[in-house]
Amino acid sequence: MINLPKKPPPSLMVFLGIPAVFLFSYYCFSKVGFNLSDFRENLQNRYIVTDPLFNPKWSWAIENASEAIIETIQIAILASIVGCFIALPLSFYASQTTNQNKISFFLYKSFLNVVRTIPDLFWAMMFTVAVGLGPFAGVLALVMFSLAIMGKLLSETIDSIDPGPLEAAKSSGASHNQSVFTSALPQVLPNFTAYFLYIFELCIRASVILGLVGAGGVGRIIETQRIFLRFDRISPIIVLILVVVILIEQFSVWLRRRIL
Amino acid sequence: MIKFENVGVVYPGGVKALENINLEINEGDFVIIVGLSGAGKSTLLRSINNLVKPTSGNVVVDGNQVTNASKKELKKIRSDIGMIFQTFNLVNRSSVLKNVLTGRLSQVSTIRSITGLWPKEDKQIAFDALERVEILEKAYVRGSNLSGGQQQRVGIARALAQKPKVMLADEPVASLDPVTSRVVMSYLKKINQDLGITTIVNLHFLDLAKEFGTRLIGLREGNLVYDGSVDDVSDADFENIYGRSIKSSDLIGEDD
Repeated sequence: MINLPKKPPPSLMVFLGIPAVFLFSYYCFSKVGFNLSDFRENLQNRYIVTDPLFNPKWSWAIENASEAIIETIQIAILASIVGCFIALPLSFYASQTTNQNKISFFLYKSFLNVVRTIPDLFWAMMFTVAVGLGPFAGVLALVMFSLAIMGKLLSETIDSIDPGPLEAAKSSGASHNQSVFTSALPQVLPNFTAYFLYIFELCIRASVILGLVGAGGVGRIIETQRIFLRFDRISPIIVLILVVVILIEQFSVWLRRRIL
Repeated sequence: MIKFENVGVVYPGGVKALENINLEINEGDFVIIVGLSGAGKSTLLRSINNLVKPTSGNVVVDGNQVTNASKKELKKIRSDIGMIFQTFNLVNRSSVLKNVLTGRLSQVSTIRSITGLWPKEDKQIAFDALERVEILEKAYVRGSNLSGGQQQRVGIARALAQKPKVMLADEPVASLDPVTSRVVMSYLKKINQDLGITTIVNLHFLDLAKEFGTRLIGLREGNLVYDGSVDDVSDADFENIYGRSIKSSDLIGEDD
């Protein structure tokens, strides 16, 4: 007969944690004023939205929104290309593998963190003030958006590359830039391409709502029709956007799989 | 050719890797450094091209002060010192030729190396280097598609492309099987004899050291404990270097 080790008793966290979760949820619901009877009453009004929503005016949408949808895609393409290519050199400065200078590493890393913390819609609002309403403000906003994501993803990928080839280049008397370019860049190029496609997808989705703050694209049309409660015009636009987004995502997923 | 003057290395954290090393290596020598792992072999080798900066003392290569050299001087010194690594350190996604051209980086402008517009002469040097290790036909193959032995030959070609005066090899065969190990060691030996490049090799296989070396240096816990001709070395000397009796794992074994 072997002596089995004694099973430890369930931890105190379980006894305290589970009731705490329920109590906290209840507290949150009451704080936000959640009330089932109000909810049921308000549902009576749903026909104002749902009736037109399920009676889409296709011809109106295709006639008036196709151009804006194309503009949306153009914003996304331009912004993701520009943003990612600005992020490419920055990422090498924001990784300790390729930037041994602690101060400049810290500055680049913090810059990327700050840019990432600011939401894309906020960038859009700032740029509409700076360069005026329209798609150009949208492009600038999404450039910052893609720059921040690419900077984060790529600099962390660079952190984990094999430092051996860098050491080899360095030991042959190559300059720092030459070592990075010939030995670090090829290691992360496939990741860069995959991230680029991923960010392009994010940009397509983000660009749809940029119009809400006047930064161009199809969001502008959605916003004006919403004010007049013309959900019969909005629903076909949403379906059109959905189709376009799905097609682009499928293409990008297919491409990404071929690269990695 | 290479001179160690009271060289000591203390790593951050207080680990003493080398203590007061005095050593002179002559032009054209084929020197083998043996010792247990952690004895300071890699540190000794890396202090020659300042990948590890000695905390005390001085290294002189070909009349140039290495340890306190400026950035620019250091690049010049390093361009004359080829290095070969245990893990080959090739860029796996790049072609063999591109990897070998890395050895020419110190001689071309940054713009040229970035755009890939290599001068004809540099490409020719790279091809010659590949030819010398008999792997020219793989020039346009990706590094990752080569076997370990082939990768190390590309590593040698990359170092050769520098047209170096000194060749450092840090455990060049530790990731290879016995047969391939001897092939790689033969190339190093042949290059040393044909081109007169001073070669320093870190090894931990005693029989390989005896087979290929001419001069043997033994390190133990950061101290120089043996320095002499390979022919004179006895088992007792090895036991002194290793601090214990010789085990079969210290030998790579026979291949024929």
